[in-house]
Amino acid sequence: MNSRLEQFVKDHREEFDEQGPDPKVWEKILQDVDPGKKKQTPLVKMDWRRWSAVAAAIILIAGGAWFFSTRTGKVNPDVATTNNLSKPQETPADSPKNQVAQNPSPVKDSSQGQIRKEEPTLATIRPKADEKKANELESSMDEEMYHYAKLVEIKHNQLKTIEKDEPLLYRQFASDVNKLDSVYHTLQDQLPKNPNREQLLEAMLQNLQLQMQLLNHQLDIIKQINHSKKTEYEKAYKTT
Amino acid sequence: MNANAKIAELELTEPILHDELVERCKRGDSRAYGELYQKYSKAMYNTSLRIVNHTGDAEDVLQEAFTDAFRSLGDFHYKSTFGAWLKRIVINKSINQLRKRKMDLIDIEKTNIGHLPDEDGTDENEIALKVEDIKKAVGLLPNGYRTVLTLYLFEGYDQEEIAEILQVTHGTVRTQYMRAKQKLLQYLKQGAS
Repeated sequence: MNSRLEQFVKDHREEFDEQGPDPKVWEKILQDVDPGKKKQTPLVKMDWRRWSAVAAAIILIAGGAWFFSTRTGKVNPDVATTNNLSKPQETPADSPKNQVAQNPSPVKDSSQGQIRKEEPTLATIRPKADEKKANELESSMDEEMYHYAKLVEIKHNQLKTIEKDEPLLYRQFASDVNKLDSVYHTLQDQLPKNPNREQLLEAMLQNLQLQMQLLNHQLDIIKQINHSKKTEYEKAYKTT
Repeated sequence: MNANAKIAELELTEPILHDELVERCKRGDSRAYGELYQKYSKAMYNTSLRIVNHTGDAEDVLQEAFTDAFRSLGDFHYKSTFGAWLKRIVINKSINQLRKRKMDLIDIEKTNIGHLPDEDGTDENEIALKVEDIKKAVGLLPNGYRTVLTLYLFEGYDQEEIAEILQVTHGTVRTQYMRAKQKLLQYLKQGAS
């Protein structure tokens, strides 16, 4: 439906664009784009191929470290859970000393089967908080989570733009992010079943924050690569 | 090179003529940067301004967008025109800017669900349309409405594209646009009477 308003805007489109930006904007862009003016001398001269190799290595290590730190941080309760799960047949009415045992074990049992080790533990670390408090927290967390999820998505899309140019690098980057993301999804799957929502949500939130940090890092590296590519090109062009 | 050719084949995109100005920029011709800025800055600035609704923010967006575009010209492969490519950068940055200010773009839908259809009587034909009035009225719209309306009415994106940009469903875009337009007409009517 092409209404009068839409037609009017179409007919007068240029008149809507009459305001101009402050001339200072261009000066700032020039400063940002033309580093030649600042006479920067790079400490180490590297071409973009080497940059990408270094970048991949850094990301691999950083990603690995994050991944492991999320695992090892929860290693104890994890062990506790698996221990508990391996033994209950002998003594089903085992004394509920620790919180892990307080969790309804049939639910645990079934979920443990499908979901990888690290998840159930996240929810069982600290005692359950006050119910009301938890609800309040939950809604604010939901909001925060939504915010981060969006950011992650946006960054992810940004990252995708390098797929064509540097498929190898992109795959490397994407697999690091996907590792974190798969953890996030298993957490999400746990959510409806698990009694300790607060802990789980916190873990999910943390996961998203990590994802975002990682993506930020990756985008920074890409920016650097592009930048060095450009200056390289510029140099080559000017000298010839 | 090889990969690019393949992609072009797969997507059956019409080849877009290489933009000489862009090519000069790619070669590092700094004068070309200036010309490119001259050519696009005004339109891009207004595009951003309509979304962020704040001149300072729009200038920040413009600066960042051009800086990013110049730096990543290597990633620009004429899958669209340079203008369309740049515009997407500007729009994404503008939306991020809105989000940074904690103005959630989806929230509006929830809060406004209550008072929508009763004002149905706003008849477009009774309202005198003027550029300045419309500009002012657009500025009065809440962020979510304004963004959707702007992208559709001024930037010429279709509803699916807007859904993709805002990461919401097609239906959301549709209803948001209808409401936004209704509200805009209401403002115009009030302004006129």
